[in-house]
Parts: sequence; C-alpha cells; structure tokens
Amino acid sequence: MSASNINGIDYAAVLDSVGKSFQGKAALKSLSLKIPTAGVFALVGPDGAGKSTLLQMLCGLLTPDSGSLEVLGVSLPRGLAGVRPQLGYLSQHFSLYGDLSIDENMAFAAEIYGMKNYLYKRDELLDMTGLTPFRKRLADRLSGGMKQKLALACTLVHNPRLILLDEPTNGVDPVSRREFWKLLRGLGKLNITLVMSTPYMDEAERADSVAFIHEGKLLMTGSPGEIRRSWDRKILEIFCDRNRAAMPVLSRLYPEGDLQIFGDRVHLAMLQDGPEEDEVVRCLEDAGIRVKSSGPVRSGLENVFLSMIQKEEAVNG
Amino acid sequence: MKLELRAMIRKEFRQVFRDPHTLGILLLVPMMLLVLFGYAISMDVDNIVVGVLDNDKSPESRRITELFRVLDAFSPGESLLSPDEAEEALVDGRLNAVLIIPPEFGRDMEAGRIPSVQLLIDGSNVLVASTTQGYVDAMFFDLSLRLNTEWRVPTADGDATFTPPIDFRPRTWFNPELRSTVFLIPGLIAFIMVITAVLSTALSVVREKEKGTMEMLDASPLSSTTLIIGKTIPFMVISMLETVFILIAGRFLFGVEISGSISLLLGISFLFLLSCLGIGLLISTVVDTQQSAFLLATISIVLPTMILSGFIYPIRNMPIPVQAVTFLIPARYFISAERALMIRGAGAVSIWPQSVVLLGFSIVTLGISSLRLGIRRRKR
Repeated sequence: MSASNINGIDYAAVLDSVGKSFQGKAALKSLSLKIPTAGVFALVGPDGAGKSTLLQMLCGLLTPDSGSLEVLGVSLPRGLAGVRPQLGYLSQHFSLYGDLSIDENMAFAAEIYGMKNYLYKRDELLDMTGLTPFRKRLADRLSGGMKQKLALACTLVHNPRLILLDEPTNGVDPVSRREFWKLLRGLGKLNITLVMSTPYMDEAERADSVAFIHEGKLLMTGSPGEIRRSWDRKILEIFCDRNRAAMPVLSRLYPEGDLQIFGDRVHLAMLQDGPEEDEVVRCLEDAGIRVKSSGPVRSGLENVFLSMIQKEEAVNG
Repeated sequence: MKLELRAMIRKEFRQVFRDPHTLGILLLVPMMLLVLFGYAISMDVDNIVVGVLDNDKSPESRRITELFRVLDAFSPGESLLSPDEAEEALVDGRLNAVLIIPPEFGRDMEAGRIPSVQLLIDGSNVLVASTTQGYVDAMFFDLSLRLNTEWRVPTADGDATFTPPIDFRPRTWFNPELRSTVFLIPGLIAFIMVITAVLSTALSVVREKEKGTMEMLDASPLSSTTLIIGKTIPFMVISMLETVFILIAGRFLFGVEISGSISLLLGISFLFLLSCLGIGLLISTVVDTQQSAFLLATISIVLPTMILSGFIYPIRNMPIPVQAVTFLIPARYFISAERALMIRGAGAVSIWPQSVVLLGFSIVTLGISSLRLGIRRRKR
C-alpha cells in the first residue's frame, strides 16, 4: 500500500498509539496510523471524530499526551522547528488576511516561511488556481471558492512536502469543489503528500488512501478500492414508501444483514450470497409496504463506514 | 532585518491603513482630543462678570468700580440698582459675583474709619468661585495698600507715614500666566499615546485570534519573539510620529514651548510607549475578542490614565489608598517627567527615576506577554 518513496522516507507521517484529550475528554484514543508519502490521504469521519485534532498534531499545533509521532521522518514535538518549514497547514476557518490583496497574502505567506525568491512559484500557483486576473483584489472580495483556492496557494507557496488541509471544501459550491479536487490530484502527482479531512464520502472515494476515524479511533485504513474489497458483501438497494417501517421487517428476515438508510432508500448488505431480491420484495409487500423499485448496487465507502460504526456501537453497547 | 520580521511589519502597516477602525483610533481620536483639550476644555477662568451695586456713588466708590473695568479677567458687568436685582442676577447666573458698596463708604474713608465692602459670589462652580475670590482679594489688598499710603491713615501710635509690613511680591515661574494648556499638553500626549499604543496593539493581536489567522502564524516557523517585535514596531513608529505631531501642534496652535531638551523628551516618550505596547500585548494574551480587549483596555488603563495619572487631577489631593494605586499607572511617571522637561526645562538628572520605572514597566509587561504567548503556543 506504500506508494512512492522520497528521500528514503516511506511514510510522510507515522502515529503510534497517539492519545490526546482536552479537559478530560478524549479526542484521540491510542490511534496508530501510517500515512504514505505522496498522493492524497483523506481522513474521514463525522464531526467530533478527531480529524482536526489529528491534523493539528501533524503540523505541530498540538502535542500528543501519549504515544509517539513522526512527521517526515522526524519525531515530534522535539524536531518540530526543523520540520516546520516543510509543512503547510490550512485550518478549517478562512485564515487569510481579508484586507490584503491576493499578491500581498501570497507574499506574506512566503516570507514568514523565510522564502525570498517566491515570485516564480507564486505566479505558477496563481496560474494553476486561475487567480492571476484577480491578484490585486482584496481577499475579502473573493468568492468562497476563490478564497479557498487562494488559501491553498498560500499554503503551497513555500514548497512544503506535506500539507494538511482541514475540511478544505467546506462551504464551497459543487463546481468549485470539483475544480479544487483537480488541483489536489495534480499536487499529489508532484510528490507532495496531502492529508485532508472531509465529512464527504464522495471526496474520500477520490483520495489515494483513506482512514476512517470515529470517536478518536481508527476504524480502517487503505485505498478506497482495498477498503471496498475487504468489505466483501452484496448490497440490495430498495426504494419503498415507508423506510422506517421496512427496517424491522428486513432485520427479521435477515438477522445477520446490515441495514442502512440513505435518504429515500434502504441498503441491505449481506455476506457472499446476498439477499434474495424476490423474497425481500414479497416480505415487504406482505407487511403492507409498497416497494417502488429494487436492485443490487456496488458497495461504496459509505456502506463500509456505516457498517463499521454500527458494529462499533453494538460492541460498546 | 530578518525577512520574516520585515514581512510582519509590512503586513501590519498595510492593515493599519486599510482598517477604518484602527485608523480612527490612530488619527481621529488624537485630533479630537487635541482640539477638545486645547480649545474647549480650558481650566483658565476668564470673563468673570461682576456686577456692582453702588449705594454710595462717591468718587471713592467709583474708583473701585473702575478697577474691574481695567482688569483683564473681568468682563464689564452691570451697575445694579437694588439688592433684589443683585440677588436675581446671581440666581439667573448672569453674574458670577456682586460687589456691594455701602452708602457710607466714601464718608468712612474720608473720616479715617475703615470702610467695608461686600462681595457675593456664586459658589455653584467651585473653580470659578475660588478664582473670583482670589482675584478680588488680591485687588483689594493692593488697593488698600495704595490707599493707606495716599491718605496716610493714622495708625494706633498716632500720626505717621504708613509703610506696609511686608512687601509681598509673588511671581510664577515656568508658566507665568498660569495657562492651563501648558499644564494639560504633557498629560494629553500621555493620554493619546495610551489610547493609540495600548488599544491598537491589543486589538491588532486579538484580531488575528478572532479571524483565525493566528493559527496560521502559529503553524509557521515564525517565532513568538518575531511575532511580538513585528506587532510592536509599527505601532511604536506611528505613536512616536503622533507625539511629534502633538508637540508641534502644542507649539504652534497653543504656544506651549518645550523649554528642556527635545531628545530627552523623545527618549522618555519612547520608554513610555514601550510600556504601553507591553500592556497592549499583555491584554491581547488575556482576551480572545476585540470587544473584550477594548473593554479591558479602557477599564484597566485608559480611564486610570485619565483620572489617576496627575493628567488633570493632582495626585497629592487623592486619598492615600488611591495614591498607592497611581504608582501602578505608567503615565504618572511619564507625565511628571514630561512636565519637568517641557515646562520646567529640567535636565536628564531630574528624570532618571521616572526613566528607570518606565523601563521596568516595559521589561515586565513585554516579558510576561512574550512568555504567555510562548506558553500558549507550546502548551497544546
């Protein structure tokens, strides 16, 4: 699963049983994780799972209470000063100066990292993000998508090897999100390691590797393909008129199956043979629930993630 | 200079000139205060209006009435006709005082008896009342002396030429006309510096926290020392320029000359500013929103500077516990040093205690705030 290798480091970051709590409340619980070098690594999990804590730890804003942490081959927090210039961090909140122009923000971002000759890099990044025509504009006057692109450009202007993005597509419209992803993919090819957190499964599907995090624990990690394959089940997707009422009927029929509601549809997942579509429809109709349509679907990361959370919660009572 | 530091300073200057609030604090507030204290809030008492109720109408009584016309401090009052009129004028506030000359005034003087006059003063404004009394007292003292010599009033030993017992000649140094602008300008400089330096520094750091840019700075290789120096230098430069501006305005608009050394004055201003910036930074390490920074700065330093520094109210007149508090106000030391330098033309020797205290203030406040900033960064 390890990708390419730069400067003899296989992993951009290695966490070994890292724990962190805030005022007695555990944010990370003995979490171990290896983040391969180069490519896009997505941290996926619901709000409060510990994604931001993990990212802030990787850029040295937080220090672990227990366990050990290595970033770009250097142990933190001891080696932080040496590794800091090679890191880029984009927080969840818009963290640019709204009263400075694009150019001024870029210059400031480069200079506080001690970069003298950043002009070429700056122009390159502005071209890449399509911001060149607006470079004299104040950051406050940019649209949400443009702000986010500028923020990305600012975190990249000092040539970091590892960049940490905390929900970078939050509050960005779908079109800008797609463009933003194109940028990220391009960066992944440049031997930069991108670690980003996201609550969106469709974004996780596009990453090179994914880690599922839930309540401060790592549930699973691997490439999206590996994760899907490891969860070897067949899924029957059912559209019926009363999802809630269908759940007990289905769980009686297949006690070992995983049941998940996705908005207007129900997913019934089962090992190997899978549920019998005809039987399911008949049972539901017998219970007075009208089935509009049904059919097998490919499992997505979301199915895997939800079933793992369900299993976790069942274990914890 | 380090590239990072230069970047901080340049950014800070850009933000100052683009943010209307900061610009308002830095430019409008000082200008407003200067006009207010320079022109409007004067503690000199001029234009005292004294009415005269002359019941005697003799050449002697007219001589007294005449005196009020010649003296600068008095505006021509009115001649009153009756005691009722006098009372009415005092109640209305048309007159600050009424001088009542009894009908037998001229006759008494002629006969060598001691004549008496009465002065009724409106005491509702203490400042005006005491000044009025002072002026009139002095006037009559002077007049009595002259009359004594002119008329050779016989003393107890019989007939003799009168010689005044003590020839008392007060003379006010440094501010001969006792103009209050001379007294207020040094305090005003301190007050404006406190507002601009403390407030704008505190707000600029807290704004970074509020806008989330502090996190970005924390994640960068920027050291806390560079951060602090980068935050203080721009406000130091701006506040120093303002000091010079107020001194120039004081000289040309209000005629307040600097009798001592200008470089000493700028030197002590620098020390005072340093402690202001330290306090501003300290405030910014305690609070997280601009609103609370503003409130804390106002309560902890702006108001105390106005009231407890000797800017307007003399510290000596305060109750002892309050006097003890004034030792914690840096402006107290600065203002006393400023008055020494500007008004009394004192030299370096007389301001060294204040310089040492201000330096101490700067070291303590800057030290604590950089420690706190460092701790905040590490302890997470």
